Amino acid sequence: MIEVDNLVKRFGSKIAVRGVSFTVRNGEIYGLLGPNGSGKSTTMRILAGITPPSEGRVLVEGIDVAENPLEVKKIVGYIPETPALYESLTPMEFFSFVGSIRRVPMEELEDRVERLVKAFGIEEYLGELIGTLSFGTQQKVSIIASLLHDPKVLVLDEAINGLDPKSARIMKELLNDFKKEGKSIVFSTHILAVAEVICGRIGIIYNGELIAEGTPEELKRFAHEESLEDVFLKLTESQEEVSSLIGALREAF
Amino acid sequence: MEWRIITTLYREMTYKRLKANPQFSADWNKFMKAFKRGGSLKRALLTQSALFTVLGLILFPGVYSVENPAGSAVIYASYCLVPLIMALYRTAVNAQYAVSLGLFEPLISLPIRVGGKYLSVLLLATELPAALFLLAPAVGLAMKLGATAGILGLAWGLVGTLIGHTIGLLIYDRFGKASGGRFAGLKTAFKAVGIIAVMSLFYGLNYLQRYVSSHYEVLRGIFERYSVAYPFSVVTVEKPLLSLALLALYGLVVGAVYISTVRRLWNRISEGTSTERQAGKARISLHSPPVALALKDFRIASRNTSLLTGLLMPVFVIIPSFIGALKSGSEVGVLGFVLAVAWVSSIAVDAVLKIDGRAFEVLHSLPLSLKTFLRGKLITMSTIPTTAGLLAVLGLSLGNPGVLKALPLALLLPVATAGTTLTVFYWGTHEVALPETTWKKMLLALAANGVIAGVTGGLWYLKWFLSLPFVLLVDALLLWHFSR
Repeated sequence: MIEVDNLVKRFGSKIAVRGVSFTVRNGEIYGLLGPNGSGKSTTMRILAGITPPSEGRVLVEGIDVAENPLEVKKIVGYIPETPALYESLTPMEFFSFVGSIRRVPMEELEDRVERLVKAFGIEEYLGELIGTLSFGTQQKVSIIASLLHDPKVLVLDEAINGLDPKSARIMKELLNDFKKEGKSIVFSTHILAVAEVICGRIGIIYNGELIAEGTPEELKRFAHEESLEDVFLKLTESQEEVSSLIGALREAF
Repeated sequence: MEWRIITTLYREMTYKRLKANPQFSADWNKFMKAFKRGGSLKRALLTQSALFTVLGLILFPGVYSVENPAGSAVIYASYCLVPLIMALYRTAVNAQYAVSLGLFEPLISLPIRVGGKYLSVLLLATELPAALFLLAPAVGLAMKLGATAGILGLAWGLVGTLIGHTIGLLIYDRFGKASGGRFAGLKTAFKAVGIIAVMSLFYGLNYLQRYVSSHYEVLRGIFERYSVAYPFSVVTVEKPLLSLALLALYGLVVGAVYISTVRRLWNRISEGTSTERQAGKARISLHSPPVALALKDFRIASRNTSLLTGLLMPVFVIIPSFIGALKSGSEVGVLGFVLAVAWVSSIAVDAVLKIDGRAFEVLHSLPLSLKTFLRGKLITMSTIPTTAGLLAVLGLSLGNPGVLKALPLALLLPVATAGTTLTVFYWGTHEVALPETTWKKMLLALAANGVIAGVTGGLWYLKWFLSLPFVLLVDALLLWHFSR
């Protein structure tokens, strides 16, 4: 379970997150949506124990991220927006490194690596340097590395970006299985159709504030819109801007 | 237009190089200052040209002070190996680096037939100033044998640079694929030996200068007999027509090889690096976190020339001390070497801390405490000086078994000095992060390690076995500090 209470994050004079509160229950996939620069990734980094909050309280499985970030990192699997990897290592060397730091028992590690590598179809890249792999393959390496310790909580910052349709489908199925196992999952994406299908509840974050929260259906009713995309554009005050930009483009071509 | 592309590529290369260096990328102002200073190719050329011209002054007396003018040509010819080796090594290494940065990706989609020339000119532009290393010796040659000989000598230096550059491109074209696969270990060993050899060039040059000065009469016969081959061909500066003909011949051959290599290179870059891949035979291996960190560091460094050079730097610095120990073969000589190698291990700290680069983000997402991180870095930092000390002591013990007394110090002292350095750099830091690597900290670490090495040496002087408990105590204190 994740409990976020009145979370504030400042970077110097800039406030990235302003009093955000939400809860992610066990066995729930919570979608965190927002335009670029809305404070979404900062919130996710705080949940993963990477960035300390400036104010407010965040509990991950009852552990305070500000007080004990190392314990939080032990139970969280975090997939960043841009894969954070050692480019001069091969995927297998990277998995060995992550497994060693997380002290995953050998048998479990071998078993998980074998299954995940097969599921995401990266067997042939295991001996190549990560830096030479495509963005999509790097993203798969990042996903596999974040799952090696069978985390209780998953924080996925646009984890489906760059995945091919087959892997994206596998990822979605995997998330559903994790949900059934009772894991808490926070998931952000710009592909709203995906969020609509897999997230039980969605929070929309804009200018560092959580401006709406509910199931996809509740959000549509609340905004009087037919699709989640329209809800998102309406709530983030982008609808008119998008229309005028499309008009300008049509004139140009 | 062509020059514009080269300067843009140079700017981009500098930008990416600085971005990859967390010491700059973490501080925007520092980054912009360094980028403004380093991003101008014109400025870089001027600075390097001035630097190499000044360095060349060291070689001037070697050519000018020979009594027999004919000897000057032999000595100058031996110097002509330097630009060749430098250009060869720098091209082979930097070509891989420049391509791996993706500098040429934007050019691939443009209607360019032979884009490989941009890679070549970009590298050559940064290598040509090294030929100015020969400017002062060429002036010396001109003063001894006439202006024509001086000009021809300089031309041979440029040809040497071009030969080295072309061979470097050939090596990159043939072996340049970045891979962690087959023969990776062999390539790493080759690279490490190459780096030490290049770093030792100046010591070698010093030796060469003295050797050639005292044996030039014997060498002259050999040089004249093989005067078709570079650098022996340089002695033909005394016969301008022959020298010009040979220069033209070299120009034709090297030019043809150069053009075909550059074409092939561009085809390779344009086609991408898609190769036949095989299901990996790689295996999972688990280690304790500090060992896993150190293994990761060595793997990364072995695939990055500048990091490998940084890690091997202490070995380079102690070469004179090693030669001293080798010559004397005495216990004191070996002790001096062991103390020197431990003392200078601090200078590898910059490379050790840079290894993680932008991937610090990986470490931040893992449950890794600062103490574990530092224990890992301690292993990384002390392994090379410890190995160097160990090999030297064992090697020298073949001649004098008494030097084995220094073996425990060779094993333990680098741990003490590396630990002290890390303690200085991470003083007051509470999380896994890249500390500020300032000169003040470096001087402090060198001073602290100087004290440790000094006390160890002093105790050895009193009674050799007294030094061991002291080093053990320092090691124990540091390990306790890194564990609590």
